[in-house]
Amino acid sequence: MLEARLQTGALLKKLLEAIKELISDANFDCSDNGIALQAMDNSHVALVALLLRHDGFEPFRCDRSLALGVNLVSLSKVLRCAGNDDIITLKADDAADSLSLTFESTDGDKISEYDLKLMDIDSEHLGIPDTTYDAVVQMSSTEFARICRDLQVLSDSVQIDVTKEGVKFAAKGELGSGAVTLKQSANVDNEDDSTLIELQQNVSLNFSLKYLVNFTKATPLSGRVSLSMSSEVPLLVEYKMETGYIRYYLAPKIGEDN
Amino acid sequence: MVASLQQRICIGPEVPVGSQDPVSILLPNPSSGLPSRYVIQDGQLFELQASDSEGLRSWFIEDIIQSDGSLYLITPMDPVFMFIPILDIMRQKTQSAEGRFLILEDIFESDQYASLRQLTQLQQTERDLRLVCEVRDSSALKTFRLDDSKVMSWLKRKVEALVNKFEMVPALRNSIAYTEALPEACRSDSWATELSSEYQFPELDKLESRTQLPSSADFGKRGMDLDEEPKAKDVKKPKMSVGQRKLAKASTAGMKPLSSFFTKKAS
Repeated sequence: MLEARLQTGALLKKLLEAIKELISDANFDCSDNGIALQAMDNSHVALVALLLRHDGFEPFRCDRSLALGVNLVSLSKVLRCAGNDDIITLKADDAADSLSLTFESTDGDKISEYDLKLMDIDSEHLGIPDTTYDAVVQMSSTEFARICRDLQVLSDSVQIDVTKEGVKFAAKGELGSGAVTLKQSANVDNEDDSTLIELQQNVSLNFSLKYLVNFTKATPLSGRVSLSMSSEVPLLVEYKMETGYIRYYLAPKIGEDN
Repeated sequence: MVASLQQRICIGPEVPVGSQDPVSILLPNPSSGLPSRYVIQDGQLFELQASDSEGLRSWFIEDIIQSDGSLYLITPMDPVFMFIPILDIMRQKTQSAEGRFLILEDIFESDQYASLRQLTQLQQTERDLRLVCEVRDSSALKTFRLDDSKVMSWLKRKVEALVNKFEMVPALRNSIAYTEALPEACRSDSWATELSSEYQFPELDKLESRTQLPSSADFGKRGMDLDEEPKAKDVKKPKMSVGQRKLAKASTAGMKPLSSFFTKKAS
């Protein structure tokens, strides 16, 4: 059975907001390692992988691995019933057909209990190898969200060029064209806003902006985001949290020169 | 007569001085079951049709150019055509039971078409209902139920009226009159078959495939969400969040599926 108590319920609420815009149903794979999820969007060009490590919960108990199939829209609706400061406890039996959620207010005066029906979901897991990327850009997550939103005005796709000087986001469409360049910042004082680049080799890749904007729903989870790119492989957009991560993979647009 | 109705070009019947303002309402089209525009004025029902200009045409009105280039046509319509499919669904006839008698207000009650209620305000709603309904008069309440034999005789009279009009063009008589009257009126397959058995038309088989009468089951599903019809479309439709709907529109041209980059893992 699973029993997981999360001190900051807001984390789970934000996580759901970050994935429910991309996928509708998914399995939460629970093991003694924590709670993980991997799923592709309807078009199979994007994938989300998230992990909440066991040490993020107090206590965390999972005797046997469990896959809890959940409709994410329904789950996010139930989670909206929880206050931001509530302590959330997730419980499920080994052969459960429902997931039980308990919300406790911090003063302990209010306890809400919800049961969410589970569903059988056939999911195929993709093995994602640990690779060294040609370019890794670490930057402010709000800045990244802003750039994607701004460039969407001009085009459906963005070209990302990374050199050792900086990273350039460029979009070209019928209205005109636009580009935002962030320079590798030297100042270490303001760590949250700095842009850091680790580069093996320059890269230049095209991506769908609609998808990138969708990924930025995870912005509230972390002040920083990292973009990992190599030629002709999927982009990795990662938001790291204290006790886990949410990673989005997106296939590049190939054969488009704009 | 050409009248301008809220700056639209419209051809319609002459409106007597001192008439009420026309009310435009949305009702299920008796032929297709889809929501369509109708107009009620002075207790009379009119069908509103528009030629769609697709934004490609405009009108010159004196020295003004009006961008909406559609032409609206308002034609009187026999409300009985409208009543038949509604009555047919509302009586809930089954093989064993003849169905329910209903009072006027209940017949024209629909969650989807609030304007259905307007049909009770027509000049001769009650008289028209009597044409196709069995009526029970109790002291306080009048209740109505669709009567199949009355519907058939009414339809036959309609067909005959049309046939008489076409009498002057003998070539049209046998085929056109029948097929034009039919799709208007006969929502139910059983009526279509019954009515056609009354007339012998060799060309009918050919025409049948052309007109493709939709079945009354379609009417319930597409036109009116009445209780007895299972809402199949709601069940099947997967729930999608706002973001997912946006992504569904995103072009994935030039993007390979992720399974071509990452290998599948046996789970």
